[in-house]
Amino acid sequence: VNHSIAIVDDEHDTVQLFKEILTTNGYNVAGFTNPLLALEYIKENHKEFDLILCDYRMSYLSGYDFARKIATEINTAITIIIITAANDIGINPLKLQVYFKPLTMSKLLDLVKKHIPSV
Amino acid sequence: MIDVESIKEARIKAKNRGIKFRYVTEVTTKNISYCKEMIKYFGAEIRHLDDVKGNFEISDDGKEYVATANLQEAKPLKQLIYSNVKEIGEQQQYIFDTLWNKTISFDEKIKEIEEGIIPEVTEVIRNPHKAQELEWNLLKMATKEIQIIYSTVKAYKMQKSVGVIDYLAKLAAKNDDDDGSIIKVRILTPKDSSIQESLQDLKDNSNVDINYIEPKSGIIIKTILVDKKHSLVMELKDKGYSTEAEEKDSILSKTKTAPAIAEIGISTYSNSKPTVLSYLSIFETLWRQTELFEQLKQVDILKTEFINIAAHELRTPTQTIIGYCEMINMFPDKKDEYINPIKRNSERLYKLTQDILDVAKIESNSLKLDIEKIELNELINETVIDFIRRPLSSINHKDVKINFNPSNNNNNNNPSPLFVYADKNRIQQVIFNLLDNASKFTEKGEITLSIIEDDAENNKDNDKYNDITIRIQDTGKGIDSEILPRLFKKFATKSERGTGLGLYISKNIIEAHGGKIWTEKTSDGKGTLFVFTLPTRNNHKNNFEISF
Repeated sequence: VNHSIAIVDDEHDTVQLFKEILTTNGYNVAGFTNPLLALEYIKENHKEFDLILCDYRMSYLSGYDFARKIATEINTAITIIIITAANDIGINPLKLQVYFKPLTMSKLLDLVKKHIPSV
Repeated sequence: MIDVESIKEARIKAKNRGIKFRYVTEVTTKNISYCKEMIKYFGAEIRHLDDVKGNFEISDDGKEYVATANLQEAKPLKQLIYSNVKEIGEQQQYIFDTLWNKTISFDEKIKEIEEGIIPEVTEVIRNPHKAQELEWNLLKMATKEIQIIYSTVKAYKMQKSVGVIDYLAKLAAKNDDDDGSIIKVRILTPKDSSIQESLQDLKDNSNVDINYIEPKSGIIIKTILVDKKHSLVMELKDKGYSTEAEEKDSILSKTKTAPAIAEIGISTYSNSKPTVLSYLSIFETLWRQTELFEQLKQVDILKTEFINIAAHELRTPTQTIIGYCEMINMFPDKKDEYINPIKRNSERLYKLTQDILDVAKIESNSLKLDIEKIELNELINETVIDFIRRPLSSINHKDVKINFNPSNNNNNNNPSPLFVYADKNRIQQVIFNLLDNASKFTEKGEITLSIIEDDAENNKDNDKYNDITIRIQDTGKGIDSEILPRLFKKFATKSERGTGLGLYISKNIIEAHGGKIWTEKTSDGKGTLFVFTLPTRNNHKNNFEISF
């Protein structure tokens, strides 16, 4: 079974880009541009996912609130990595891993491999 | 001396021997004529000293000394003290000289009395009770304005506890009184949360103006200025704590706190113009400084906000460009597919660059308009086509139709040409921005552009140019009420995408053309309607370069 990754980013082009590089490298990827829809879907199907790559500055729900909801509303330990274009995300009580855009594709793959070692 | 002939004679003789007479007295309206006679007969030099009491005479640098406690006009003396002891004489000579040095000249005093001038004084008050009493009197005397600096927390609290602050609030609210006079009260106090809390009500509900000095101003005096005529400056002995926290720290180390009055040191009162105006200028400088400081802080907040938004907006398209370039290297056969997002995001970066440069031009008043006569129907038509065709256009992925109703005054199928004097590129930029906003917030439906030409006959105001009104309406989600008040300000955005610069730039462009831009409620209350006007006449002095 291939490992699944969720990408949550309100930039359509970013979702497409990350999806493209990850699927060509053998991952199953579900992309969302609306964090509320993503939350709903992941709640229902959380067992499918090994990793969530999430934007920080999004309409409707910030990356931090998204991560908090995943942690409190779903009994799961899916790793959430924040990939943001913001300057800094300020306080980070959930101790989320944060990476800043622009990320090179090789860096993105390294990051994913670190969390999902065997593809 | 004048009325008793023998005494008068003796002094005239002495004068004739070359003896010089010097007198110190309090010159009043009652004794002016008497003083004048003394000058006339004895060639005396008379100088004035306020409140001087007692009578004594010394001759020849203290050789002989005579004094009396009660001297009555032209009556024999009851008691007289006489001494020719050298030391006593010298001591009295010294006292005389000390008094002499504090006097003002007879002519100056006469002028003051004759012209009814209130003497200008600058005096040192060492008694804090007297200083406090004077402070109250000055406040009560005020008719026009009061400026106060409470430079320390204690200075403020002291005033609060004795009721000065409440009294000032009453003075500033005096406009309900019969005389209708308003006393303008301005207070400078340290920026301290306890003071700010205590003054909030006064700041909100009275005419008292309050500005807060940043802590560590280094000033340890209380200054009261009344009607630009009086100044009272009180030294404070409270070590200048400008915040309550600092003050508390110090109190902990003390066994007991001193009564408020003991905190006042030496005070200086003045009604002398140069002194009062100098203190006033110190007050005004500090006042302006506090205002500038607040403005600077606002600028700083805006700057940080700008950097954050700009960073986000720069990095987002850069991510896509860098990512797809790398992907083209990895999968060269998918080049054609990957090039599109690169184009789109390069456009977006370009647009952001233009917006930032435009804002810089607006802020430095160097945005230039290239005014020419343009036909508006054609311009809008062209703009709409460009908008739909551009690679960045999000409209292509949505079920949104753009309609344009050209101006049609002739009621036939051919729109009548409509000319305006405007900068073609800038007007296109505004329409682009408005279309971009409309398409961003409309998922499904339509965007309608229409032109309304003001009918000259219906326009009663002949001085006003006939305007052309352009309306852009969408069927989208409408404007968030939270953003509405600052819609045309910089960085006004509720969307996590976008800089919030588009409408700010658009407003400045339209206003530079002499037009206006605003939003209106749509007839069905749904969607958004932007309206802007352009003058049909060329009211620009220079056709090619207008700076604003």
